[in-house]
Amino acid sequence: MKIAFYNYPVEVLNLDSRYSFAIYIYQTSQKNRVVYHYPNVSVTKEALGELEEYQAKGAKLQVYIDDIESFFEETGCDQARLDAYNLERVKMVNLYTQRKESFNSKKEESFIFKKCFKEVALNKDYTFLRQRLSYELLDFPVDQDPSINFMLALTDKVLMRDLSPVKCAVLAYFMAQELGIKDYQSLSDIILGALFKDLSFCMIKPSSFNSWNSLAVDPTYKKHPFLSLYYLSKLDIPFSKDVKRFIMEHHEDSRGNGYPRGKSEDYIALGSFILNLSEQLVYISEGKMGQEIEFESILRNIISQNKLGEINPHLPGSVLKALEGWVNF
Amino acid sequence: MIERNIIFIHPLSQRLKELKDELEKDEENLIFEIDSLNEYGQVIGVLEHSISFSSDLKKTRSYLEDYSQLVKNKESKNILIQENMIAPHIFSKLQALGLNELLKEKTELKSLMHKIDFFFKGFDKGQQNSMMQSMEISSNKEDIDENFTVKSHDQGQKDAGLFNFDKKKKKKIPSFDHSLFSNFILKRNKTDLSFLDNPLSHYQRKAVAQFNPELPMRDLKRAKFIPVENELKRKYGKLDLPLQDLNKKKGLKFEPVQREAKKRGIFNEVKRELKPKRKSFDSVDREGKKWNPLEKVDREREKRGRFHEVKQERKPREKREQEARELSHLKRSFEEVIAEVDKKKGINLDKPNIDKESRGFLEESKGHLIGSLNQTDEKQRQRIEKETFADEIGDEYELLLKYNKEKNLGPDTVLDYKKLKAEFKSGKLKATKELEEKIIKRSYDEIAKIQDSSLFDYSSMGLEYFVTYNDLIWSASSEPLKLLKFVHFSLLKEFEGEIIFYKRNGQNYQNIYSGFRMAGEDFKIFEEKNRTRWDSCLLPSWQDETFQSIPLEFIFPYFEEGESLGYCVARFPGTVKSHNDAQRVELLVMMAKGVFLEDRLL
Repeated sequence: MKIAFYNYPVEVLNLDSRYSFAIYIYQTSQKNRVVYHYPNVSVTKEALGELEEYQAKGAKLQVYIDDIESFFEETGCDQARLDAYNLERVKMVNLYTQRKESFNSKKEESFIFKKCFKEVALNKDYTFLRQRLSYELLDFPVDQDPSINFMLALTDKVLMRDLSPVKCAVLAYFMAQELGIKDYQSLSDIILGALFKDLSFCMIKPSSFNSWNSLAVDPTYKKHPFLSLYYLSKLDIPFSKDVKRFIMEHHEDSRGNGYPRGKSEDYIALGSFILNLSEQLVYISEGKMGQEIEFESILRNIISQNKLGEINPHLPGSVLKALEGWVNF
Repeated sequence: MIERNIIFIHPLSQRLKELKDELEKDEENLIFEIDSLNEYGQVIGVLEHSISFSSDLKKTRSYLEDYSQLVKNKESKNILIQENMIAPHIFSKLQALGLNELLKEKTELKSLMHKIDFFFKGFDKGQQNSMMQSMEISSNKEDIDENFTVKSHDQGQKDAGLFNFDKKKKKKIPSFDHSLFSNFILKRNKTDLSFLDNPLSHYQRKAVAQFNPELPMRDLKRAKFIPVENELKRKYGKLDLPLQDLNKKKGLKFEPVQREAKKRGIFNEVKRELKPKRKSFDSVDREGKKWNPLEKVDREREKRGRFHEVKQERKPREKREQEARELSHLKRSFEEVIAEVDKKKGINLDKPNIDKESRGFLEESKGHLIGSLNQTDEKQRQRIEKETFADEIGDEYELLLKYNKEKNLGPDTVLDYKKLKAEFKSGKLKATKELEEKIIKRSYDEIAKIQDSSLFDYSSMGLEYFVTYNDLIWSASSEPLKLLKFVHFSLLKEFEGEIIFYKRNGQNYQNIYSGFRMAGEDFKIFEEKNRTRWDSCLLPSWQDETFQSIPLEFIFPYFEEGESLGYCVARFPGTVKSHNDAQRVELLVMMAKGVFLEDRLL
């Protein structure tokens, strides 16, 4: 990630000067850049007035990175002033380089998933997996998609503690990797889905969370996938259709007994199954869905019977296969 | 005994479940229960005889559509059992796909069992019959073998028996001789069916049996028949051959052919008169031994020269003169280059009358070369000619490259030699100041099109509080005020905001949580002043939509199914500056909605 064009204020330019660099104008509304002055053309009073007018309307005066040295020489502007004028972009580039550097510094650290998973299963300690996830997220791009940026900004803040949605996100991420999902956008969607699938729990009265039985009969609980989407719609972020689908389907059952839509297997996305399974593993192992059951027995139960708990999905073969690898930790 | 394969496609109706239970009692039946269509495809492909039961119309239709080729035959039967009858047009569609029967749910088990038995019994009988037939055939074969061996012994052969490969002794099959009546012989059918003797799987057998040959679009007559060449030759082509042989044998002269050649000669002469160009071409061809590649090049150059002359006439005089000067300059450099090349080769070339005009130069150089070549032997001559020809073109190209470098017009023009030459001739390569400026401008315009890396917002929009709230709600389910405190905490941390919550109690609103910094009397006075305004607020509202006033007040009412549950009032010390911030505040206060549904608060 590099800055190709630096913005600068019109005050930097002097009257009747001839510059060896071209003066570009970037129209933010149209996302279009044009050459206003070619090199070695003197800047007239009219031109300066016009440039001031454009700048006031939101257009940006720009200089190309290759001409930056001559820009500094001829205008007297220095790097610090230019950086201050391009604060957001400079911040972003710094963030990008910082993330890349910290990713590369830990590149040689070994990671054995089974070892970390054992720690989760036996001691319910997600620290290693959580740290690994936050390390792997450092490699995600910050200039590709606004939803990826949002996810990275969010995980920077929440991957500090073992919160239930964070645990779900950690398990879902590694499960997705196990199933061969590698692209940044899909992985980001799965993490976002895991964090936001129960966003609307705040609309359910707190006393319903005393027991699973009271929660399961709460009318708002049955609608919570819908309501979580409603919350997401309040944000001005262009979330992908997949995130919305994962959230919407995370309580669907392959046999059509799930909610809110009662969809059958062929119509449920793999990401939705991943979210469902990660939720089951976390909630059941923490006793949120009744009796507290150990991780290993949950997994064995899922593999042998392909069903568990109140949420009762019949998982697709590929997900079960991934779980089989996790059982013998 | 054949395999009795019975497939049940889920979901099963009550009648089908009963039928399945009944069939399971008999060990001879092989029962397959199938959920997905893919699975059905795998099973049906392997089974030889099968009967499929289904009770779901949609699933039936989709399996019939997908596996129509495997299902629509006599070896498999498809039965749909339904509560209600279906529309006739749908039934006919399904029938076309391979559905054999549509039965009502009320159909008795016995009749269903009978249908199954009847279906499989048919194949059992068929198999028995075929076995009997094969037994008969094998016994007949033995008889034939015996006869064959006896015959062969009679003829006194060494290799007697069934596998006798002696062609001479092979019994000829009487065939009709088509050649007597036509020029074509029917090709024998060579389809190799030996693979049928190999053990095939059921699936392969099925595939072979159901193979539907599609003839390619071609002329079948031509493909099956081959022309009888001999016949054709004898009749039309060489009628005079026997005569020739006869003449040779008799020692006679071959006159008719000579006469014909003479005639041809005359004919050619007449032709030449009519087409003079053709004549000159022929004459060059006949002097094949003296063929000179340089001459060809010269001719082409002359042609090009002529072409230029015509072009020049159309241009204005000044331009023409300028071009002529450039051309002469180019030619002069050509001459120099060729002279250098010749020197390098060590050929003694005295330049006789090197004229400034290119055409003259070319003629003389050509003449000189030919003259010197008379003294060298044939191979050397050819080699030199080839090299000179190649060098000439190479040097010309080099020269143009040099010219291009001087002008510095970029690499593209170098690559396309023809284009470059054409541009040079038209005078385009002369870069004027205007052109140079244009080129520079174009490069800056192209730079302007470069896309800078996209800049997206890197913010969590305060959603981290929701994530924490989702975890907190499990532990603080019995203490809802903790949750209100958390909402207050989130506003305080994000916008240094303070908040107060009121819950509806009958017709009035009651304070349930106060996060305002002012306390005691000050707060009471402040509350009294604004209470009526707050209570009557039915929509989320900001005190100042331009976010200028300090402190900035925000009221958010909570509703459930049209009924007011309560409201909250938040105040910010100039920290909410934009609509984006306002949106985040609204989201954070929405977190408290669940708490207002709680009855225990009051």
